[in-house]
Amino acid sequence: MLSKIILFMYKKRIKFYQVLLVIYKRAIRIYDRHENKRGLFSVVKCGIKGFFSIFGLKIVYYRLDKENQYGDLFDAMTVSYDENDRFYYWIDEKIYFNNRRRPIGNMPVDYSLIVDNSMKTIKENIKTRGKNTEVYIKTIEYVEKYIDKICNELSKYNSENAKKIISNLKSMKDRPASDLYDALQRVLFWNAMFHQTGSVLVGLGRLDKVLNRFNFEDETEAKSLISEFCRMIHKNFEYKSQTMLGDTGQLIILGGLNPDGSYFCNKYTYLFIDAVKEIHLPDPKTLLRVSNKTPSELLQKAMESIMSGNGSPLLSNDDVIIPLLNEYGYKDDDAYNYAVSACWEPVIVGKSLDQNNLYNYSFAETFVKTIKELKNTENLGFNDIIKEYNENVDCALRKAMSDIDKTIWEETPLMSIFFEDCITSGVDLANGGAKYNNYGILTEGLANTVNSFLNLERIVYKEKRMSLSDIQHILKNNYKNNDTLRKELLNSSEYFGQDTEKILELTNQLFGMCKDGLKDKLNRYNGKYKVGLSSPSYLIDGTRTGATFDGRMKNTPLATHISCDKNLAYTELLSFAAQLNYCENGFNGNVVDIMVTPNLISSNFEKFISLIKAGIKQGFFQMQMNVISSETLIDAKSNPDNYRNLIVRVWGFSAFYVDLPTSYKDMLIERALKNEGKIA
Amino acid sequence: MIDDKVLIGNIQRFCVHDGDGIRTTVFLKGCDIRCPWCANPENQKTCIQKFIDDGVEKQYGKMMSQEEIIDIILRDKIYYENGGGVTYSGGEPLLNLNIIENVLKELKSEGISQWIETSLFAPTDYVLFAMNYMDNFIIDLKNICREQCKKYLSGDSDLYLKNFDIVVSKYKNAVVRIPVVEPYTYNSENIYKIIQLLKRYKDIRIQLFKVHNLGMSKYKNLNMEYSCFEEISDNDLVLLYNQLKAINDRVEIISL
Repeated sequence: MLSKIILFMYKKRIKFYQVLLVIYKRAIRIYDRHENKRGLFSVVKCGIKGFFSIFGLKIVYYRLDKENQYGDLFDAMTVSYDENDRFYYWIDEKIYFNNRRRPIGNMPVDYSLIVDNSMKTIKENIKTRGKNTEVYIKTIEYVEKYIDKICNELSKYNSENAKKIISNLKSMKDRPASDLYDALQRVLFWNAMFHQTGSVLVGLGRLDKVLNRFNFEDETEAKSLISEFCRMIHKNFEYKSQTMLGDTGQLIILGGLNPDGSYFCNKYTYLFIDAVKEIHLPDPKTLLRVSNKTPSELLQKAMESIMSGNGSPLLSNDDVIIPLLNEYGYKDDDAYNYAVSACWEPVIVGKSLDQNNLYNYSFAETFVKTIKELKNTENLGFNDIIKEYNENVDCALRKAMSDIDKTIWEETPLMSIFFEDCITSGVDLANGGAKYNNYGILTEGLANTVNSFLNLERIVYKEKRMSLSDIQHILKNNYKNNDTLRKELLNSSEYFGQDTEKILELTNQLFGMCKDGLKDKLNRYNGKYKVGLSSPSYLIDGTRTGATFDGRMKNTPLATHISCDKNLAYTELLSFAAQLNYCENGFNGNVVDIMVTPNLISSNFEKFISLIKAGIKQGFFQMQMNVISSETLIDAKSNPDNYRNLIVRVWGFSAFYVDLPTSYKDMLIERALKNEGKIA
Repeated sequence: MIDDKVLIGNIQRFCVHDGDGIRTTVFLKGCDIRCPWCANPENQKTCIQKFIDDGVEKQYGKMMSQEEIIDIILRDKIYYENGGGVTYSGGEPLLNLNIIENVLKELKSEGISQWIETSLFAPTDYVLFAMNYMDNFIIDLKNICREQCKKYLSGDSDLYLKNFDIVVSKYKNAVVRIPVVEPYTYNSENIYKIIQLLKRYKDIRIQLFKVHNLGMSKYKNLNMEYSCFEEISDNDLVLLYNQLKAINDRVEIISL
């Protein structure tokens, strides 16, 4: 058993101290939950702490104010630098900064604050315009002290690189960034700080926009800096990963519409796309905000990157999204400045707390529950079932919102500094200080549910071949002795993704139930709820969802985002997605996910550009592509050593294929085979 | 009557191999010749063919109204920019193109580009009918040696050559597509004749492709005998490409 665990850790590149940290985190959470039994737990805690110190681990855990916790953290942190690196980027993975409550993350930060200002001017701004200023000022002063500490350590190195880093870090204190290098170093410094202080999935925001004012004469040098920056962001890949390796949220947002209606992109938009393609690593990822006005050459550049198989960029359609954001209540200019959470959920960078991935709602689970609990089935019409389903949706969402709203966030003055509204109100981001404080939920299994309802209506009410109680029995027994029926259901001629009136109507009806269930409800910060049709949990949640009437057996994966595994034409799927009703609160990430073989895309490059252009015009919300063949995936599963660099797109991020759990590999293989028409 | 249902093999959207741009391909059932390498045997007969696949009853072919066909084609209208449109294929689409005349008329009035992928083994009247509506032709060039054509394809090469001249004289930009498979199309006598023929039409586009052993499962479903053949080597394909390149600049090797 022990050897198996060690082998597993070796394969997954999990280090021993990381396991210890996980154990410690669990222990400390339990400790916090038992306020009245602290005596006993304190002894246990000291014991654990002592044990950890044997392995060189430091735990920063204090009952001090947050800003003083930062002070202690920076004191405890080591400084580590490789002389070959042009940038300084260091997360001390052996320090666990204990946040007693859930840390805020899963969103980008507006790094323009630190690029366009100095820490001195930021402090001045806080003093003149802010409230509750002491906490912010102190936080910045601790950061300044930490910068001094780094500079002192780096002064021991004699290299030009180290000298340049020192000069740049020092300059951060009293002047805005002066050039591209300076700006990139600042972004790296703060990105590391956020991760070090326990925030996870902290994205990089609209970097082309942040860097817009910096000109360069030497393009080769600029390219090299951007590539080096991207490599730095890839550092601590395992540390930053959440549910699985690659789930890091290191996302760069590029391009986008300006409030005056023109399209913004610059030389950095191109350089980042190129760099991410060339370094061919899972991190960082890119998202390109596209519009009908996006230049063709930029779309071509994006498609070249997608074609290389790294999964980036994800395309996000401003022409659809911005009006939806406006309608929802994000003010005009704010909507135009949207970024996304770690994957795809729109968020107003620098203005919203919006935690967009707080709950995964499963349409399929509600379907299973509804069918299971139907009574007096002989008297029920199809609309009665739909009504019953709707009530269950409402019920599940009420519970979800109630659970979500119990979340108390850990205060984060460090991040709050980057939110102007937190400064002026003096309220921490964690306590609702941001301008927008909306919550988002994600959904899964809509395709399974639509297909299940289509089959149910046809077989029970149109063809009258079976009764509802037959279906209850079949699903309960997971299609036992009904394999022919199961195959028939899998091969139904009508299914999710087809752009017919009937299927669109049913899909929008079910989506509408979810949107309505969340409408007009407010969270503790008076923020609203929103929902989207893409969720990371389609595989994990599938493993605990009963059989559905689309032929899917129990405990198997649910459908991925807005996708169709029935060899459906890309144009049809895009047309379907463009006709879904995302209005009101249905914009929390809606990704069309398609698989394409490398041969098809490389021999029809121009046609794929046309596909994307027309798809944008028609109005898909978002889109990502996995350019991979089943042949490669199957071979890579058997011979992982030959495919160490193979990258695939997993829900909203890219990852090394060899790092994925077997269940994900199998699911990708199955999807690829279906896409290529090799299996039904 | 526009509501009368007509027999259609299949309608496939987002086709990238059937002409310029993104196209919707309408497969019509029925074909008078029998190419031994045929990858679409389900479109040879002019009737619906049922079969059982893994215990599930399925069928090749369906009855559709012309309105339905138009509706499906127009759903992708936005994707037809950059030269895309609809392509009629088969089977031999010329044989039954008249059954969807309303579709042809409607799409013409909508300004949708209409192409046809044809073997040209059809009465000349049918070709002339198609020319009223088609914006371009993809012409399969298989075997034009009289004896071989009859033997391998059950086709009439004289009729073919007559139709070929009529079409290519009008459609200067026509695409001639040569399936390269030994010995049915790739033999010295036929290749010589093909080159002689193509020398006369300088403007046309020529596409070569290697024929693969495809469609085996369809033969099984249809209870038809499938005869495997040896695929031509890449070297031979390039050799042929070079011969054609010498007479026409617009030749390319494609992969289907």
